[in-house]
Amino acid sequence: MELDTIKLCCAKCGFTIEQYSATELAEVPRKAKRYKYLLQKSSICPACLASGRLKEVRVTRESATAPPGGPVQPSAAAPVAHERHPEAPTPMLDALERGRWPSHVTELRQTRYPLQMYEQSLQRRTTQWDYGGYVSLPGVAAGVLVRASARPEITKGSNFLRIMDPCGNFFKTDKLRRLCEIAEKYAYGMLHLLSTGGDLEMLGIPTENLRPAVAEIMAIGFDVGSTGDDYRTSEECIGPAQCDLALYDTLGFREAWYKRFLDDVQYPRFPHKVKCKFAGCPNDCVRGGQKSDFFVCGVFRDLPAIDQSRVKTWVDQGGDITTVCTRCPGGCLSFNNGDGLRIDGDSCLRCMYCVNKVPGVRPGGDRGVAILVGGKMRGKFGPMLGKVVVPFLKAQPPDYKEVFDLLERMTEVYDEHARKKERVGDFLLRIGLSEFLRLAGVPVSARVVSQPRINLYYHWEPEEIKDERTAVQEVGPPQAGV
Amino acid sequence: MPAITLAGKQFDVDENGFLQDPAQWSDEVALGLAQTEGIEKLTDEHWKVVRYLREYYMKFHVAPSIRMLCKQTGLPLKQIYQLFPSGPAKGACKLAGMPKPTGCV
Repeated sequence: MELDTIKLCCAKCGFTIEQYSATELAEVPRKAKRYKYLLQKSSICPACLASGRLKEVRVTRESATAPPGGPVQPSAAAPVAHERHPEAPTPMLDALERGRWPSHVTELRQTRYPLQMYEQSLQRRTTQWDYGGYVSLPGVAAGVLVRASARPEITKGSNFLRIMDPCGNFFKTDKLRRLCEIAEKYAYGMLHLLSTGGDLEMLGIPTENLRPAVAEIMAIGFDVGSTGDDYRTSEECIGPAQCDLALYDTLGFREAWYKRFLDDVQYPRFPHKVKCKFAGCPNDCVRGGQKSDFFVCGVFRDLPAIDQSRVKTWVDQGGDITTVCTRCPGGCLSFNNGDGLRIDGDSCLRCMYCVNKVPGVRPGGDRGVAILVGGKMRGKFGPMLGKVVVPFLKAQPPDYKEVFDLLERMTEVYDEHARKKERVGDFLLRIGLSEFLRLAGVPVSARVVSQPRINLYYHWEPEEIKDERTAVQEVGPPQAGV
Repeated sequence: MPAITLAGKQFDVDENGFLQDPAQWSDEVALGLAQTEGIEKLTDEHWKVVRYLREYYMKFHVAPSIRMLCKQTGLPLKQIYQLFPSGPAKGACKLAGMPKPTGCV
């Protein structure tokens, strides 16, 4: 029996979408590439509109009506079973399982993850996953991510869902358990907790299973989205829920952000993805300055408040105050036994170094947020750090109107003027910071220039700074800057 | 090359069901394509979006950005997704007889 024609048909109705002859596939590389591409992507059948992977039908010369040789998809009903992945020895992965530490390979072995993809990546020293795309799913405007495979004989590809995490990434155990059940039923049987973007990913859901999986996730009270050219799920530090340094309520801030911008998370409309991160203090545990297009960072405007008696106790107990003073980035700390710890207001960078090192030094009382724009790692012009657009803004709960209005103005400017697939940082570099400030209606001040003086707080006037804490502790008088 | 029969005529389409030749488009074809998209009845708002896309495509030979579409038709993005369940790119552009736009949406 000689192989004659290979047809690509709809898995449901059998409608022939493309067909190739065996010689054509062997001789014309363009056709072979197209054939390979069609096999691994999900398509919509023009006849019955079912979306999914195409079925391969091989027709031989002797028996033109032979039953299809390709894998037969079970029709609808319950979750669709996963494709079978070929078994093969895994010498490289076995090496990763030795040792007395927990092994990720041991975990992956227990799931339906195509382990050969990983093994082959290690053996060939390059990843075997290919560029992905999106599967459109009615009801989920942002679509579902798909990672294509460069080795269709191992796996055809893998769809994955991004689940928006609750603020602070707090999961009640029973809800997480129900998510695990869904992952066990429809996906590889594992969760990716948490992705670097701060959301929960459910890997390896066959296209036919997407709709019931999304419905069940929604029923628990989670939402999916955060793919495509929209706001990605934001990330925030744990803030006042667990941390002593938070300068504003990052969790409440993100809750309010969701309330206001949820449509932009769900419906892609921007030229490229936009990432937001919220950090409670300039320590920036969420790496927002490097990674996010719009970064809201908690800051204080006056000087750090010093509890001299606690500092003295710490020094008496052997605290290395000399090193702290010499390593202060602004060079503004001085200590002697008579005066205690003194801060030179003109040079203080509000960098949190002394706050982190010395017990008894706390952030100042005049608190708010700074907004940085344009941080990113990829894009046309490579990695960039965020630029300070607004050095200080009061964050007023519950709706944070002032901050969000500004964010909205800036995204509108980006949406209106940026080119397709241009990140905010590239856009900022192309039009210039002054033009961006003019378009966004942010007043230009001496504190915001494209190459700022290292100390942004130098120009604050003493009367601009007021301690707004309700219960000010008995500490040394905050020394006003300038 | 797959083909699809709409309004009694045969049309060449690509694997996603987009018309290969935009010049073949007519109102009846749009109605037929709407059936394949699962849209039962084309309202005035549907036509507004389709006609705008059509006009823009014939002028510039490229699909407009989503922002332009929302601005010119005066419809919010959310409503466009309600009108065309598979989205402005896959749904609305298919009805307008344009080739599939590049990009992710």
